[in-house]
Amino acid sequence: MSTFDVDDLRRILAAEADENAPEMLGLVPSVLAAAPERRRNRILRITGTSVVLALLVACIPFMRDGADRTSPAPSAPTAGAIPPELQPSPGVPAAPYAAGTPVTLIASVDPGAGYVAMLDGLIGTTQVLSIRPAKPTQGDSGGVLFVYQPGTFDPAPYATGQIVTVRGRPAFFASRGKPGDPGWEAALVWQDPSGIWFLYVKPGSVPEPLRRVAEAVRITPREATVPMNFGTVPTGLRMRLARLGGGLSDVLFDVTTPQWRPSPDYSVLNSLDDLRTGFTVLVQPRAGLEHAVPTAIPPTRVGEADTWHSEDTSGNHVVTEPGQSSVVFTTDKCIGHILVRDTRQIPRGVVDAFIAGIDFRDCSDPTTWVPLRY
Amino acid sequence: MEFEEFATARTPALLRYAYMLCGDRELARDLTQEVLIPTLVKWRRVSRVERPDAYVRAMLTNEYLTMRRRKSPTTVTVSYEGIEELCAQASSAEAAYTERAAMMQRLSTLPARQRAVIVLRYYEDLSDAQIAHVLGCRASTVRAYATRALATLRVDMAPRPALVAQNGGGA
Repeated sequence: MSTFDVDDLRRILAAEADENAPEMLGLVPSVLAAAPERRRNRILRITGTSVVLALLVACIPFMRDGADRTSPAPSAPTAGAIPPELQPSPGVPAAPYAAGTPVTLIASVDPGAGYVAMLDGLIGTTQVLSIRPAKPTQGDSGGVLFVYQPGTFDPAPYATGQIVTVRGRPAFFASRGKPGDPGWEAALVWQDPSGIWFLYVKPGSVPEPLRRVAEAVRITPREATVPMNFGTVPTGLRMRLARLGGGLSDVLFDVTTPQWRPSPDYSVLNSLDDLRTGFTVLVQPRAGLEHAVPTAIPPTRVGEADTWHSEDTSGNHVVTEPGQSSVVFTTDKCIGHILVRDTRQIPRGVVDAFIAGIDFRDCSDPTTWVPLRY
Repeated sequence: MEFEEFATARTPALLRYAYMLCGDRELARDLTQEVLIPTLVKWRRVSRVERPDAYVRAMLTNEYLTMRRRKSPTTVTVSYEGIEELCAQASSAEAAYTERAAMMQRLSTLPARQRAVIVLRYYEDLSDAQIAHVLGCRASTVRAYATRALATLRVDMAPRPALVAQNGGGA
């Protein structure tokens, strides 16, 4: 990157804020929910140190009792034995993965339980939710929930963990590291009677905070929708990863080879590092992103979209690694980007045919969106 | 003005400002929330100041600077951010964002107060005197921070009008 002037800096900062700053969804209600407690704390503070100390002293036995109740001593490892209640139900069909099958998001979080799901994602057939407390909670910044379709998860790696109860059924708890370690985290694994497996991961050492989240998870099947109906996906490629930003601002698809399946533990994301084929499609509402439209360069019309291909705009804003290509595309309501990882596999003509086959919807109006399909 | 009205109107801007300060979406939400809660608790007093939005922005700045001194953000080994990062890697050739990514990377290397000065000056468009008021230092100190930060960012102080005009429509 060469040097910039201050106007460049202003433009870059504004663009970054426009594009990547978080949404306010749920924030004000969280503040309103948390304020009474903070107000009480403030009253306590100004009541006087001696009173607070007295309260603390009085509370210590109670807190200790509570800790005893919520942090049971680790049970003896069960040497890999999986209780019958945790065995996958026999005869459960494998997860639907046939081409054209609509993607179903399985789980959500009970909004009245004090937790919110901030983001939704999909890795293969596995749903991923980022879960956070609805109001600030000391020592709990939330975690990640993986939801596995029946038949796609092996709980054996967790079977040596502590047995706890989730919704009246046994579940596995395991932790590693200690506070402050980069790898400090805890995992809770449980299964719904339908055969769906859940894996919740967050920093921690005791089961109770994870168990509370588990109790708040509900099975609420619903279709995943996206603002574009893919016409012709290049031969041999399949939808494999999606990031659905709450259905509000941006959607990302990762389209690649069908052989990949998520591994059955929470290192699942690491297996995505081997992505070397296929192409990625990112699309989001155009509103507020006009600055990202390369109007200085004439577009090429492909289907419903104006496109700018990296081969035509070399040296300008479209930059790729050797062997890759990219296309910026726009419609009236959408702006997006396609990255091809290997142009030998997917030449420009294939990409153009793919774009030409897309039926775009209004990216800013989720009611117009269509089901995402495998 | 009631707090809800203020929060609804100002939270998007506060989130953007918080994000520019810390460069992390989730942390930006946390920072904003951590500032809005005491704002609500003290709303009767905050609402009487001349510029409640500027007051809350200063609170947010202090929260950011305090947070940076207090702790380093903990990382979760597996998180949804991990997915985002992977997705970002997958689309790393996203053309329109290459130069911006480089700039944001450099911005992330700045010390907290230098970064705050850059964001307040070039994102919030505050004068050096106003920035000095927010940070509780002299305007000359602000200028010193800005000079060092701009050198790190490799930003020339003098604008280049011709280049600005040429790039105005691109990303």
